[in-house]
Amino acid sequence: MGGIVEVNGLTKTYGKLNAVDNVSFTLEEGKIYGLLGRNGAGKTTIMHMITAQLFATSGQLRVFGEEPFENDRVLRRICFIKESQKYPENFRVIDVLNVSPLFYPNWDKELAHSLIQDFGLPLKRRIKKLSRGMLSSVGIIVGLASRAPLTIFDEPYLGLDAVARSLFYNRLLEDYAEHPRTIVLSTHLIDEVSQMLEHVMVIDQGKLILNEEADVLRGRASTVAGTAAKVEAFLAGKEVIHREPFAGLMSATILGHLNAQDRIQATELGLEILPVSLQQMVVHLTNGRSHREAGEAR
Amino acid sequence: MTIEMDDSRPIFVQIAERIENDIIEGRLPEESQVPSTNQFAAFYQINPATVMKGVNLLVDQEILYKKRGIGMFVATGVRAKIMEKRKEQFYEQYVVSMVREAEKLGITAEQLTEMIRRGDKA
Amino acid sequence: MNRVIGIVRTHLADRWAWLVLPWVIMGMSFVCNLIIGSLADDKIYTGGLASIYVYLFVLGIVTVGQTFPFIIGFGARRKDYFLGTIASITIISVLSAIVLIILGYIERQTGYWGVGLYFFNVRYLSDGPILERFWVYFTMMINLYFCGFAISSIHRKFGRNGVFFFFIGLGVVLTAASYFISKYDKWKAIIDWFADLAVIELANGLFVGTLICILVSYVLLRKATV
Repeated sequence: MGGIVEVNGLTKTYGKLNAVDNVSFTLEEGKIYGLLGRNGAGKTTIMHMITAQLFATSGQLRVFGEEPFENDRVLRRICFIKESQKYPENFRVIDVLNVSPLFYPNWDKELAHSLIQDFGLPLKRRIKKLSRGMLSSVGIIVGLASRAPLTIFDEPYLGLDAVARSLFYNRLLEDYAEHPRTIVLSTHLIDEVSQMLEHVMVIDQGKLILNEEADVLRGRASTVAGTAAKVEAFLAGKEVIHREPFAGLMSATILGHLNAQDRIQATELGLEILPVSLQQMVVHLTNGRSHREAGEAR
Repeated sequence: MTIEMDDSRPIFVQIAERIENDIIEGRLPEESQVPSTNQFAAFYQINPATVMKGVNLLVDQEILYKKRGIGMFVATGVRAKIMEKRKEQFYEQYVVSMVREAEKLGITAEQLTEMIRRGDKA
Repeated sequence: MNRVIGIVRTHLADRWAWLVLPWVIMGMSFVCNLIIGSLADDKIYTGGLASIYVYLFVLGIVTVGQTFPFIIGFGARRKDYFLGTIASITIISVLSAIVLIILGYIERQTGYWGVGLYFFNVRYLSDGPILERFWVYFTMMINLYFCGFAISSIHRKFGRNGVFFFFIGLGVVLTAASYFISKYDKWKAIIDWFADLAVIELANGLFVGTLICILVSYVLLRKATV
């Protein structure tokens, strides 16, 4: 089974800035992907290129095996919900729902209306009069009811409270279970979505720095804590993604599995080993790099 | 029982453990049907593929078996088997670290036994 | 083809902008003229009909900003967006031209609304036979719409500065043209040429102009980003 999205060396340059820098990955059919990273890391730019709304400076892009630009066979199978989606001035919620099936062939009207109920959206209200959260729920409803074989949610829940976000996750999983499709959740709220993800990609400063199955990543990183000198001794030859010194003590996060020998060594040194959550790991990975680069700049 | 998964360990492993717990504690008797992948996914708000992986882990260990077109069932005699496996884990996970911590605090073997006896009554 | 129909329906979902507002604006102009007409004794020739045309020019400008990002964001091809937009304005213009002809007929039958108001019967434009009148009304509508659309497409592709430079360029060309016309003393010839121009020739010319506007807009929007 080939990938439904194949990206190779994708680069987008704005003047001197590499918004997306030589990114390569494959998305397989029927999985839920998390595209994680800080705001401005390049996530949205990548999604815009996959959907042919923005043009790559260089690199190859195949979606459903074809070039997506001006390709209806590809475009009609994608639904891209983005935070910045614009709607015509006079459009009401109901107008958006009425025209959506014209763009998404798998549109499920009943699902759309049950979601409207769930989110409590006023059908007759004009889009531009909606609150930020309500506007986000319009996107979520379109994204779910489109049932597009490739559905992309780019930061879909701005302004939504925890209850509404949880509702989104529930309905997403529910509908995904019945109608499996490829879903990309692009977000910086990692902790909330991490459980739903099968695969994780982390983007930092335009580069793809991690591309791995979520469960493989869980437990891959560990934090060791103890006196600074002993921790440093233990870190030798290991990939350290975060260091936090504290009054002669230090806690450091290591990427990679610790084997039995490592654990014995840690015990002998009197170090404590703590598990690291997926979220913490991503935070360390994306923080560390920017700290380093910021340091170099100074 | 908490609904939250531990984000620092593979979730499919945790799913398998939870099903095992349910079997040990009798919530899932032998030869009873295990909830479907989608039910698990909805309940824990996790990816169905991850649930499937956890369930398959138990199928590989012959704890669960599949009835075609119906679903997953708990195999006969697995409760004792799981408990045996857990006893080994109990020693590694709890006893070893408890003894080590007790040594650090200068608790003697007698004191420790006494504590365990007290804990039993509490 | 389904896609194009979808885009037509998306445009026309904004009934207010496409179907109501042009007639409200022209209707208000008409009522004002009617009041003036009832007060004045003479025949009144008015340019009030221009209001609907000005509105279509504005609609053309507004369309790109309103619907291009929306429709492309919903996964349509740029080509389909174009065909759908052309189809939408063609439908609207055909219907509007027919309504204008009918209103012109009513105007003549009612003795110019009983007050000598020549609102829908404009000299020169409505002089010809019915088909010619239709063609004139129609081409003027789509022409103004796509003039607006093309200007807005420049904005989409090159931003505010793009529009700015476009108008500077246009200004330079017009200034240079009038300089050379004056230099070679051709003003009279040009005015005469316009005066002699039959309305059908004007309409045909506008139609060609419209096609150019469409082509330019397409080239601009084909690579415009959302």
